[in-house]
Amino acid sequence: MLPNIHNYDVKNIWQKTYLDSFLAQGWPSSKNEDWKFTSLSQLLTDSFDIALELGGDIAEKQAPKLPGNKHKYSLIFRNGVLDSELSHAGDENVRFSNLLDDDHALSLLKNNLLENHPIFNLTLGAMQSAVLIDVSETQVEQTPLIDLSFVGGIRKQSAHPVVVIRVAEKAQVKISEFHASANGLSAPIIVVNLAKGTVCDHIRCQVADLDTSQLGLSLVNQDAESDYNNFSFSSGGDVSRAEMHLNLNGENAQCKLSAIYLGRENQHLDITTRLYHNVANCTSDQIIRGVLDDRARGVFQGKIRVAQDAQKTDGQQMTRALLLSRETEADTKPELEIFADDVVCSHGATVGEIDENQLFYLVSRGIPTAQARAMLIEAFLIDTLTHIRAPELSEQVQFHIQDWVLKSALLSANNV
Amino acid sequence: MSILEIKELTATVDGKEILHGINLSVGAGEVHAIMGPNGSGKSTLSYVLSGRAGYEITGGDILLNGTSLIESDADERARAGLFLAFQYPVELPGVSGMSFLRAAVNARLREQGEEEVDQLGFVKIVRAEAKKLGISDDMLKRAVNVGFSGGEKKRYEILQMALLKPVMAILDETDSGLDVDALKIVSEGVNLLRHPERSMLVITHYQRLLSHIVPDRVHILSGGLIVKSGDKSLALEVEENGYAGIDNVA
Repeated sequence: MLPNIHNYDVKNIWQKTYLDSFLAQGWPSSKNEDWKFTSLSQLLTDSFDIALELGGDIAEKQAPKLPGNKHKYSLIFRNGVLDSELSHAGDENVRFSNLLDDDHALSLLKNNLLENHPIFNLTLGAMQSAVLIDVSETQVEQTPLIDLSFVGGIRKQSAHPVVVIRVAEKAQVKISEFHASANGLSAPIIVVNLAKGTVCDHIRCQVADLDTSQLGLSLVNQDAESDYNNFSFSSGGDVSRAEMHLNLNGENAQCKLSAIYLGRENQHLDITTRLYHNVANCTSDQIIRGVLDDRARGVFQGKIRVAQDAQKTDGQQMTRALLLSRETEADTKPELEIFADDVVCSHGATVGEIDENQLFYLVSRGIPTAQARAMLIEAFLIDTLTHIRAPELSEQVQFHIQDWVLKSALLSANNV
Repeated sequence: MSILEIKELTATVDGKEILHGINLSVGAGEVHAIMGPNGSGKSTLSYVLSGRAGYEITGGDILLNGTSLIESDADERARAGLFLAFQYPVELPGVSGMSFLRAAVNARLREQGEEEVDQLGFVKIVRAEAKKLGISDDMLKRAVNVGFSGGEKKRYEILQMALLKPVMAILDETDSGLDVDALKIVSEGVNLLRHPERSMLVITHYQRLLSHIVPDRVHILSGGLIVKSGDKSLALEVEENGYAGIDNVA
């Protein structure tokens, strides 16, 4: 069902265009190619009010666990609204301001040609907090860490926060996104704009309750010689989609995108990437691993588009799914659109089960079956984790993976 | 008393009976060899003993130290002191060798009510045992069996046996795929582990392994039955005349 917005007033008149556009189209069905496997019109059955103010306490398990960093800048969104009392105020290295006051930054958001995208239209129309973060080139010994937490929230409301991170030339930054919002629908938009020669390590961790829907949209723009490393982990939400659109706009830019999704019960987990090689001499590398148990469904859609002038592009994509139960389903849709003639692009996909030979080898050494299964599931995920360049950011994800895997292995061992 | 006692054991694979009533008794500290032609049921016997899924026991019993194993799962049998050295050790990409070895050793220690070993202490123990088998530190750092040569895999099996200290070890065609030098290293490793409280069942097609690991008894398995037993000279007889030259061999 559509959000309940007949009493809702937009903050700015231009937002109404987006909201109207969303309402005119509604949630997409499977007839829409971009939502073929994730039919929101079927999956989203509840109606929500737009969240307007801070709400919902932060449960302890929802708090992110990040190590200390002298240059950590935490922003906490509760109910999709920035909680300024709990958040860092910023400084000369990392500056926070209102996105709506900055025309250039706002154009970074609006210029994304996503006029038919439901989350783009709805969140632009309904956003309450829109934060602009400017990262300048710093001389500090530690790379600044921007820590964005989307927590708390009211179940009957939908949250639509927007964060635009503008990274100045040659600046370095680490970004940690933690999603454990209790909102019935959480639909944040995060924009990362990387100027020439920037280095950015970005981790997204979505571990929300299983009775929430988590539809995140990330928009990344890379200028020349920028270096972007993204890792996305999703294990929460009854419906989850981590969607990224990445534009390689300057030569010799490179990106690595890795993702893990872990699904159980009736979860529907979707990873969608849209990678645009717009200029020559850029490289992209994607590696995706999914583990599905019970009746969970996993979706990976990966588009790589290489423009006519984007010669010498190197674009790689590999996705693998491990099915722990016969009732799971994994759908994979790679899309390569190549208009240049001198490129190296590849994609691959596999779906499999736990290897009985490997399992027997472990148990024949006395390792209990549940532990043996857990070891094999973790081994399946390990080469994705080694993609993470900032080890201090991966600890939190590893904790959630171990927790999930152990639970799954114990349950299945008991069912054998 | 026998460490391993196999009584009238029958077993099926995919509904087809492969073992037709095996009787075998291995005393403490003894090394018995099982020889037999291809398809005689040698590997089936090793899998049945170790409790592999899909190998169904339809009759008889297997006793380890007087306790029946046939209701126990493979991991329980291993913790009770049974060890299988694989003919084809399995590669486990992504599973670190050290954590695999420690998980196995700690599972056995827990079973015995002993304290688990910590990581640091364990690394020392493993290095000492590995050195005896010519296993390099580099090999220990790799994922289990990944990128190992045939000989390295077999040495790694013997390393696991050394660490797990089984009361009953089954060596399934440990000589297969080994060149002369590797066979010597592996055999020496096995001989170092001979112990009055450790029995072994050496399954092999050829006599050559038995000139390195000298058995107390030799049994000929044919058509799912033990058709002849004798001392080590029986192995030489097979070498000389082939299986076809032995009475009762199908």
